[in-house]
Amino acid sequence: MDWSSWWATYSTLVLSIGVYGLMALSISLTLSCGLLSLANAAFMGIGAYVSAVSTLQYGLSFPSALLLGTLAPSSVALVIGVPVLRLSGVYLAMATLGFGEVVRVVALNLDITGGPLGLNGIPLFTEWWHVLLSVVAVLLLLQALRHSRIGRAFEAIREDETAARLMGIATHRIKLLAFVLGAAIAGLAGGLNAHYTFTLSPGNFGFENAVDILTMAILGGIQGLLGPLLGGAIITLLPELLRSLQEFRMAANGVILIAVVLFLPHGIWAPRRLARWLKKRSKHADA
Amino acid sequence: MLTLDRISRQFGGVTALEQVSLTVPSGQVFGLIGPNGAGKTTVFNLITGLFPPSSGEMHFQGQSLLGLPPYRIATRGIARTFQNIRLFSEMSLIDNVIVGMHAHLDYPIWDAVLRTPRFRAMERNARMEAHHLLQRVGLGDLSQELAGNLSYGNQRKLEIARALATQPRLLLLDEPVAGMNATEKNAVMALIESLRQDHLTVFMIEHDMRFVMGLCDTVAVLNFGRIIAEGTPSAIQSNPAVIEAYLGQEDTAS
Repeated sequence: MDWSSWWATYSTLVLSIGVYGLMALSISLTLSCGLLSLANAAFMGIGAYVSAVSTLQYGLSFPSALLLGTLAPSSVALVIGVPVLRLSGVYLAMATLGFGEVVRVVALNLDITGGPLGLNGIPLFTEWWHVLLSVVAVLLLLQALRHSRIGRAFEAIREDETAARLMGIATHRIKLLAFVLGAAIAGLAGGLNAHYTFTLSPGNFGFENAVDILTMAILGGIQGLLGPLLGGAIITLLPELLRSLQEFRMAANGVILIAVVLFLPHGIWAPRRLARWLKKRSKHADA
Repeated sequence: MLTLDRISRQFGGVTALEQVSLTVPSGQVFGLIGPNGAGKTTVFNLITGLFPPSSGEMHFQGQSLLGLPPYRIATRGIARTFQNIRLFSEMSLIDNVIVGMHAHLDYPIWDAVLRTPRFRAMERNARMEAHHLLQRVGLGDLSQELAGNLSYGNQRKLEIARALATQPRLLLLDEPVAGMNATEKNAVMALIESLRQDHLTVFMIEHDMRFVMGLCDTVAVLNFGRIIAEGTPSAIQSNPAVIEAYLGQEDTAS
């Protein structure tokens, strides 16, 4: 198989690895604040619809469509984040899932989103380097945040929110920042996704997708930025790799996840576990 | 510096504090003692804004503290430690201390994203200052260790360093030497003494009488949510009401 036919067969899969890497990074932002928010699939949907409508119906350029697709979900996040982030734990998860349902039903009933039929004939603007560039830019941004007061505040809030507040951290603002930034990244991923899949339908961004995205981040691990990327790649590839199992592949998918969560509670990529392990080894080597 | 004026607090039907009035003068080491369950930690929780008083007034440096969220009270200059240690246990010691500097590391977010010279300078200074604070509490050699791996006594010292990192004018210490051995207690005593030299006001809850009597300028005694005595350590030690609170009433029949 030569390169061009390989790419013709697998380009969607390769681009999806990048896009779902972005999605896993987006949910890892709220997770790293200790927030179990499941709104990211809906934010991705908003980004996808807004950018697809921009190019398809208003003839906007791809970059401006992506920009709108990033801004729209983050504005929504800013508005719903203020009341919703007062919740925590399972209540936050339920509220954000409810929000996802609202977005799905709205997309199902609006004319501009094509109703239940969705949108068809979205121009195929997304190139591999758009995805790569987005992943690299998001990685650089998140890496810079991790090593600043913002990243430390995320971690402090996750470990002990009360102590963080008493150390002078405006925790509600920091959590809102994580939520809005996560929505922006999800919107970007959605915009990229819409412009290589050709079609969008309301079912693409529902409950199953929300859970998949969460699974990617948990599976990969959120201690480092490589974890979510790895988790995104694995969950995207797994159905393809397990194709030979046919109807049992979803079950195999589940078994693999259970095994990882049981045996690697911090995910596959956990720099701190690695550091401990290396330390132990070097101690043995010294002895 | 800090005044509580007839502060009361009820939890459901239970009165935890009743008409508590206290004045912590600037520059002093002020002690609050009392039997278990007297409501001492509740006093700290009210001062730091974790919950509001049911009635009464609180002022810090002449300004009311009522209605302020905890992070604002912290930035006004009140820092605290916790009786049941609340460190960020999966973070390194130095990062725990730098979290305490959050409000003072006030570079805008884009400075961090672009890694501007201002950002680098502020982060470098913070790291150096955090090292100094760790050295000051005697944990200078452990800066890269995870906070959760520290011994109980060292965790209490780290809490003090983290509280100092917020640059407080009033430091609230909730049982700073609980669970410490004699050597560790002496080190903390010397530390608090040096904080006094730096004109920091310290308000502490402690059960260790030798510690309280050796450090405090003024001691107040809380029993069943009420202040029953206030005065110099020696006056408190011979106060009949205090002795009664701790040892029970003398049997008058015998």
